[in-house]
Amino acid sequence: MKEFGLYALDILSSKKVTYGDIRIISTKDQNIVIRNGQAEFNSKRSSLGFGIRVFYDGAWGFAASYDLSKKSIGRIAEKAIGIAKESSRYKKSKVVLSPYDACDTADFVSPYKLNPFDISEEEKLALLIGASLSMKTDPKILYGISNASFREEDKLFMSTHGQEIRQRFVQTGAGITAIAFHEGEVAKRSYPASFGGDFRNAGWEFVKELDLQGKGPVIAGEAVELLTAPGVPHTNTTLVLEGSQLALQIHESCGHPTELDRVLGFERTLAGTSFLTLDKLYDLKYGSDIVNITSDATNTAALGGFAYDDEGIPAQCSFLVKDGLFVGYQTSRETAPVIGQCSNGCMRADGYHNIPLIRMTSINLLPGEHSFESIISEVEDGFYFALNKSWSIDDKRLNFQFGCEIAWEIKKGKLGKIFKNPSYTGITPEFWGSCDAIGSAEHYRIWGIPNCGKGEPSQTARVSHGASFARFRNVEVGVSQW
Amino acid sequence: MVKERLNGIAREILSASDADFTRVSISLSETDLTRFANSEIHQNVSQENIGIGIELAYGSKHGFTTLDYPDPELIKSEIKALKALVIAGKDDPEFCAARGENHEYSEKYDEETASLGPKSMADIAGGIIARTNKAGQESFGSLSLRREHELLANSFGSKAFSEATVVELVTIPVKNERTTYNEFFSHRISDYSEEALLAAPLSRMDLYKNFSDLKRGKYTVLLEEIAVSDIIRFFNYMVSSGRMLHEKQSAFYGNMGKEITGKNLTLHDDHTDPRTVGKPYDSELNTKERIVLIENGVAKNVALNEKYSKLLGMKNNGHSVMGGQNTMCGNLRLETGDAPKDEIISGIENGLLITRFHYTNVLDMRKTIFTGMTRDGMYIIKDGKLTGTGNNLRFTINILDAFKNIKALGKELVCIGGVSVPCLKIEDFNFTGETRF
Repeated sequence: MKEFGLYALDILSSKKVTYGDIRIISTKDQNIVIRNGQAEFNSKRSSLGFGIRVFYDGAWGFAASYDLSKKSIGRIAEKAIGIAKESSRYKKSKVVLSPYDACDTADFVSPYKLNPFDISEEEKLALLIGASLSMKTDPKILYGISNASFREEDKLFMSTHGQEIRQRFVQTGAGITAIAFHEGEVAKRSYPASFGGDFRNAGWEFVKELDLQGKGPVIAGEAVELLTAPGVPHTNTTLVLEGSQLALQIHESCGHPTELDRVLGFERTLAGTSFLTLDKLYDLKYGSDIVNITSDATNTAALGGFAYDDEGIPAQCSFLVKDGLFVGYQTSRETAPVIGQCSNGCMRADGYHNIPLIRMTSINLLPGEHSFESIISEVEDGFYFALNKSWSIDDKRLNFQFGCEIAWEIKKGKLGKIFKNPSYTGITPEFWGSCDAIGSAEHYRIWGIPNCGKGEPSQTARVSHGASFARFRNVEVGVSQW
Repeated sequence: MVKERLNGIAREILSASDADFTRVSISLSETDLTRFANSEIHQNVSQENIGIGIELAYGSKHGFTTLDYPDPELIKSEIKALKALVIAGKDDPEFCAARGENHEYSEKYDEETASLGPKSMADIAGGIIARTNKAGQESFGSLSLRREHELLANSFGSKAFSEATVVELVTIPVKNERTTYNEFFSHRISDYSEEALLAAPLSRMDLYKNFSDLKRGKYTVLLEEIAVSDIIRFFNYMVSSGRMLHEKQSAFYGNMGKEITGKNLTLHDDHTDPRTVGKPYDSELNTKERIVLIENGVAKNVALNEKYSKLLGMKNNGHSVMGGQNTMCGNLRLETGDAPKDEIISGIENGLLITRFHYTNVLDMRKTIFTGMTRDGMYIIKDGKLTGTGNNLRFTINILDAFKNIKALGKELVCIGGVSVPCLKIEDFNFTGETRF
């Protein structure tokens, strides 16, 4: 692969580009879905290709192909340069890239114990079939679904700055879902998170640690109970969010609005912009004093962790919100100079064929001091919502509405009966301003989200969020009754 | 030439497989995209992608693999690995090995469009930027061009080849952080008119001079075609799959043959609609039929393939996707009414005209509960005229209930991303929140 990379860089240098890089990426994926003990889906995917990015006359050009041959590399390099030249005709001002100390070479492997691609199909299927069948505890359980996903990705990044960075990622995710049906009502419960479970830079050992089979009967029982549970009433009340739902709240209302490319309007056409405009930096009270949020790519066991981003910038950890004050953005070499900074290393691309964009790393709500018991015991009247079912937020990331799988009422400091169809809504800084308790470090967990969408052409990023649980006062819940 | 190349790969796969049944799909696409923001091009990319799907069945055991790299040795090793995976699996009594038929379809491939290069694309973007700036507004948007070629084949000897071009353009003029919007979709660039794309969004910017703080509540709305297409796309996702009907997840479950919307709503899936880029066959190589999902308010049919038509005891209508795994409608058309848009507006005393929704999502699939925000154009209608704009609102609706409150359907059909719809006047459209900061 290095030979192809050097060949590309030779072409770019001979054409006198200001800067150029090539990423050659090989990816293997496996996705298994078991429904009621039967393998519904067991598919594999293999991918190999390269993308060339050039910076020429103050403008970017990018081209990519699956055809990894010298002839194709020459053609694609010329194409990328041609695109940059055409782009530069419609630039009002030439882009300036932030400087950085480029490493020469690096070799990184994400942490794992058991490579899932070395585990026999029989072992994988046996665990997942057992987990699926563990939910068939009641005739009202229509489906017991278990799933697992594995990825192995080898990425070679080489640039005209002389960098040669190899990174290898092994990623694993798994979860279970029970779907109950009775008299027209459908209810769903998942573990450990909804929409495929939890994901991590890890191997097969992560699936075994989840104890899917052990948790199956519990969530199946809750799904059946939800069928006849009352709906969450429309009211303003105290709300405690479980970790995986809190992770998505962080994702939508802090992760996306702190992406500096959104703030500068680069994503206006599809994803939207951000309420965190440049004048708000170091000025806006984003949340209450106990709210501290970081962008941390240095935890390499997290799904959003890595050694170098796709511009060759080392992984970093920086504050986005400190003691409730908005203090930082996620940046790139192109955007960081706008705020007088150097890149904090957030550029990543989905596969070889896409251009790097600012993508979340691990955006973490740092832990507080509360145990689960203490956070509940201080609530006279409220709800505890768990696991995401639906998400929606406006194009500036202000007005959000989430649906969850299950709610428990909180009465006089204790968890009470189950409620169905929980939903809540709010305005981002008001909501985070109402946060008055956060779970302690022993409850803190990094949740992996493998499907963060952004960009045109559409890209899917693997990101993560550290969260325990947290309490918010005076939140509007039960937005719509059904 | 492309066809012969894809045929060659398919032959290689079919001859390397000893399965009882083998199905191959090969898609080759070239995508060019030019994005502009703050009145300059900021992103300009080109991708060449290939996707090879291989499905093998031994008896009723089956499995699927995909490759994004057409290396003959890799293909052979993946087939071997897939065979081991399939044989290790369990029997699937519901598996269907569809024979299909031969097809060829290139009607939506336009040579002039396919030949557009980076210079032409930059110049189209430059034209939009210049005209928007001339109106005193900043320009944001994107232009994408896809050239798609697909070959499907199976071990029964059936084969299909299709190719298409798709052009999509989006424009968001901006002035003082106030935005308007329009978009264009076609398989040929000659349908594009800069004037037609920009006339409405540029002129509507003046309406921001009269800006109101809107509050949640029920409003009479005129949803423009872009907003309607969003609802129809999600509605399709929630109800029209035969698989979902079989799994009791669709709102059609228990309601087939019953009136579920107002009588003025008829929804087809029609690949023959000239506005779409639909193919006349499905992923099982069966001929795709034009179907009516809802006729005069009554739930009539769903998308079916070999497997789900058997499981549901209904006639296969050729809507298989992902081999035989799922079914989906891809060429929806909501039938029109007889009123021009201006006439519908003139009949609204107090209401809102909504161009576009943002981040729409499903709260309850079975009950078609749906939420989202308005964006890039929330206009106030007073006494039959557009008089101003307002802040964005969040809606939370039951789509079937909203479809019972349609009071007028536009006369003009517009294709948005492959979904052809008229504008809709809906009463009591439920807004449950507002943006403020």
